[in-house]
Amino acid sequence: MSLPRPVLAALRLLIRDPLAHEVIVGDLEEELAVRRAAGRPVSIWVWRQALASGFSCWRSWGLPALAWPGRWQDVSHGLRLLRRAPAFTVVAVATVAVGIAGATTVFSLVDAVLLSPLGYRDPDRLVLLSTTGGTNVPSTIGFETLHDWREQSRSFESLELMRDWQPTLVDGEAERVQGVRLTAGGLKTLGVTPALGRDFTVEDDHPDRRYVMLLTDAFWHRRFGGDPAVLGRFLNLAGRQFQIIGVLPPSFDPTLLARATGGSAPIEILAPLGYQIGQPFACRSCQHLQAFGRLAPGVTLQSAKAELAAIHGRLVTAFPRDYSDPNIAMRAADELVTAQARPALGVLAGAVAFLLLIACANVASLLLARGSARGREVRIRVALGAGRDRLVAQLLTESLLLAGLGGLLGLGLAKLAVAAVVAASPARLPRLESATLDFRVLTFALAATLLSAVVFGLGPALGLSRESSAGDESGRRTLGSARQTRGRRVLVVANVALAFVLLVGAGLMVASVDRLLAVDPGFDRHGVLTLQMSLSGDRFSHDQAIVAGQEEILARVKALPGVEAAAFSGQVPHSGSFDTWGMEVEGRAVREAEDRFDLQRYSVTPEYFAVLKVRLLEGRLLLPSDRAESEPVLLVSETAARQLFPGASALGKRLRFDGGDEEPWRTIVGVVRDVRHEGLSAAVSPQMYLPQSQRADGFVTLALRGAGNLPALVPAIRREVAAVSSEVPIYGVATLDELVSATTARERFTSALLNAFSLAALLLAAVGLYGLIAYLVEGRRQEVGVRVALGALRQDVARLVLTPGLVLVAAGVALGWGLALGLSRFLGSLLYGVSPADPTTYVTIAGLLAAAAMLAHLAPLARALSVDPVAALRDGG
Amino acid sequence: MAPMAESLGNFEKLLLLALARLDDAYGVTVRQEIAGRTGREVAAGAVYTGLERLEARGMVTSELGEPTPVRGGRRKRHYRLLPAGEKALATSFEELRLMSAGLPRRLRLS
Repeated sequence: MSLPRPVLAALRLLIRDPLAHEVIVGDLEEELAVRRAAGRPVSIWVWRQALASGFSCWRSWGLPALAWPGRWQDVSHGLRLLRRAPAFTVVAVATVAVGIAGATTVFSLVDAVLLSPLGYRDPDRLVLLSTTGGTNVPSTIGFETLHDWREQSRSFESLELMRDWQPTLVDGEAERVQGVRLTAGGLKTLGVTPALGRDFTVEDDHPDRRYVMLLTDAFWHRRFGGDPAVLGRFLNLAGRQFQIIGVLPPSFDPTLLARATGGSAPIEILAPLGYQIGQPFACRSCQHLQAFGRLAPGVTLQSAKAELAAIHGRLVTAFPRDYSDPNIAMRAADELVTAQARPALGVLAGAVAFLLLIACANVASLLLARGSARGREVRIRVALGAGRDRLVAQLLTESLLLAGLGGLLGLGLAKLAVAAVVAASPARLPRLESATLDFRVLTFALAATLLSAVVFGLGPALGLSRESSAGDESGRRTLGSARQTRGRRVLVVANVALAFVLLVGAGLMVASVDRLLAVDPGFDRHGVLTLQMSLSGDRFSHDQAIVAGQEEILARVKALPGVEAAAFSGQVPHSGSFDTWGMEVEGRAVREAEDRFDLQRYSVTPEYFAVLKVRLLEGRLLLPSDRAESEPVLLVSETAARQLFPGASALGKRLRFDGGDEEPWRTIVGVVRDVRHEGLSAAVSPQMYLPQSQRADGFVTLALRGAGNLPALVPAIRREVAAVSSEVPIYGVATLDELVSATTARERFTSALLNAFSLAALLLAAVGLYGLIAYLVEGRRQEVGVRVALGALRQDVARLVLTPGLVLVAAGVALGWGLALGLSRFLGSLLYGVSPADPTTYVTIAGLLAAAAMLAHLAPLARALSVDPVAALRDGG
Repeated sequence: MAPMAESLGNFEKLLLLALARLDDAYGVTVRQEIAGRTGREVAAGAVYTGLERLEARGMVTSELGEPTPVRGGRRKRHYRLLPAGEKALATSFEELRLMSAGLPRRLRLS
């Protein structure tokens, strides 16, 4: 008679000791035979016996082959305990969850932006490079320069060029498309192959044959519904027919190419550069191209740069007039793409490490308090023969349960948080949109969970078991002995200090963002809608036609209900475009390049100043009477006036564009306020305003001021513009408010995240403090009772309760103050108008923590004040 | 107070008492003895872990028997009560007797 095979298998698995296995199986077989013979049912009995035997042996003889030293009994016991103390469980699990969600969220972001390599083949060999690199940040290069580099250098597998390209697509409704033009080997250098059709060839990369194009997957779907028949079709781009020769795969990563386009819009089409030496714009000093390359295998960036520097040195000697700066710049592509986001993400990663520490310390503190409360239970277990390892195993099991529950909840929170952050993030944090909770992030979260379980579980567990074996007969307060209370005090001080540092960091960011947003940009950002459009093509081939078209559009738009004023301008502040011109001052000889003054140019229609509310300081504004045939005039900004004519009035002085005698002299008729063009924190550049009628732009921004919901006007505006010309594409619609917000997006983003973290930290610190104070007060109920019985007043009791807690907070703040002074300098590059040691912030935060500390004291204080001396003494007897 | 070498759990008392009653005490007979007298069904593994613990405390001793065909050729482990076990049982009864003396009849050790 033998046991069923599955039962034997289970027993073999559960009972590892061969002797025990033999004896037990033998017993069961013997009894099975007896039962069978007696006709008693056996199948359920056999299974119950096998499993119960197996588990009891697994626990005791067996086989701690697992790292987890606990037992299943511990798990169910732990769950029962957690259910019985819901307040503790909720606070502890929430603490772990907040810590882990914070860590996981930021790790996901840091991972996406900083750690994930660019989506190209061997991204570590890709470099960006240029001439004139005093700062070693690659900028631009001329075609012929790169041609010579390519001929002479041995360090590169390939060297390629690219440039911004924004043609108007005329195919039904006119549309401006973001494109990039690059040399034939560009995509091969990145390791990108078209999913459909073919790549550019050297044949295509020629001035006469360059009219072919590749589409990105997104554009192909948006414009052609993913129809493979588009291959071979022709599209009209800026008046030329381009043939579609291929479609890129959906995985195509435009990050690197977006450097050429400034990343203002996603790249949708690609075409060959098609330059040739001898073309006027393909010279050595024609610096409007951007270069990238792939290092040859085994070549380091340093040696490649040294070789190029030598080559370029010879070029500079041979063509001194073409190169004003003998330096070159070369950087790893990956490093450059993430360079801007690095400081902010570094600070956030630090903040998260702090938050995780606080969470761990807090849960340790909670578990210590709980251990104290459970002293009696632990002592009984010890009395019943529980060994230290069993106690540790059980307490550790409970910690793991808490960490596990917290980890799960935290992961859920993190999933939501990452999605929220990606949705709310500024477009200028590269690659952030690719942030998701991926496998590595999950691993990181699990590691963080386990780490905190060990950190906060083992400490109290060891402390408890040591205390308990020391033995104490009174059965009361014994486990809240000096050692643990000291441990908890240290944890509370550490928590307050860490929270102080985080809060100071957040406080500094808030102050900085406040100051940034309070900066007067020199114009009124509210209630203005901007639309970019391009008046190009046959109909707008000369300035008068453009001006007439502009005036017709303005007349129609101003007739729309809700529009108060409307104007065209070559550019508006915070739009990301720059239009800087070298100007010559009448009566001053231009000998060197330095004698020219670079002014930011705005060609505007007269109502521009009413739309943006740029104030006139001196003279007059531009008027409708300033026409092409009247005297050429311009306005300058106050900074331009001061720099050009220090100590004298600019009115009546004359300037002309640097470009020789055919340029007319233009008279300064007014001085207006400075406008912050690049961003609120950027330095003010000198500016000038010219009438569109005297210097027309085809690419213009329509700006209009109005009341109510301005974006709702867009369809009507499109209709009016289409009525004037169906070939004028409208793009880049945004309110001025949105444009200004976008330039401060990174700061607000960092600030918001830091704020979230520091609020969590404040909450956790207050909870930790509350736990300790409540515990201390509970332990001193008897003492309070005696004192009250002996005539102590309420304020004496209050002092008794408040003093220890406030001493801890003071110690924590002092420690945190020192830490914050040391650490806040890492925030330096993110701060605007605030010193990292800003005393106001520090004092405010100290006050905030003190207030939180007082709140944490309220309940315990009320409890102490309500102590009934008789009851307290009786309990203590 | 340190874990007492003499203090016995309830299940341990049952095991020692079973050994005291049986001529040939091994897994099957111990379980039958306990089940027959108290109505408690005990797992074979639990009997061994309990006896193992008592053996470690010097209260019982054991030896391996010969393989028998009814056990599929597997050996038995025979257990015997040692003087320390008898003394522990006696102490335990004495404590119970002292503690229950003078109590109403239903709480007295008969």
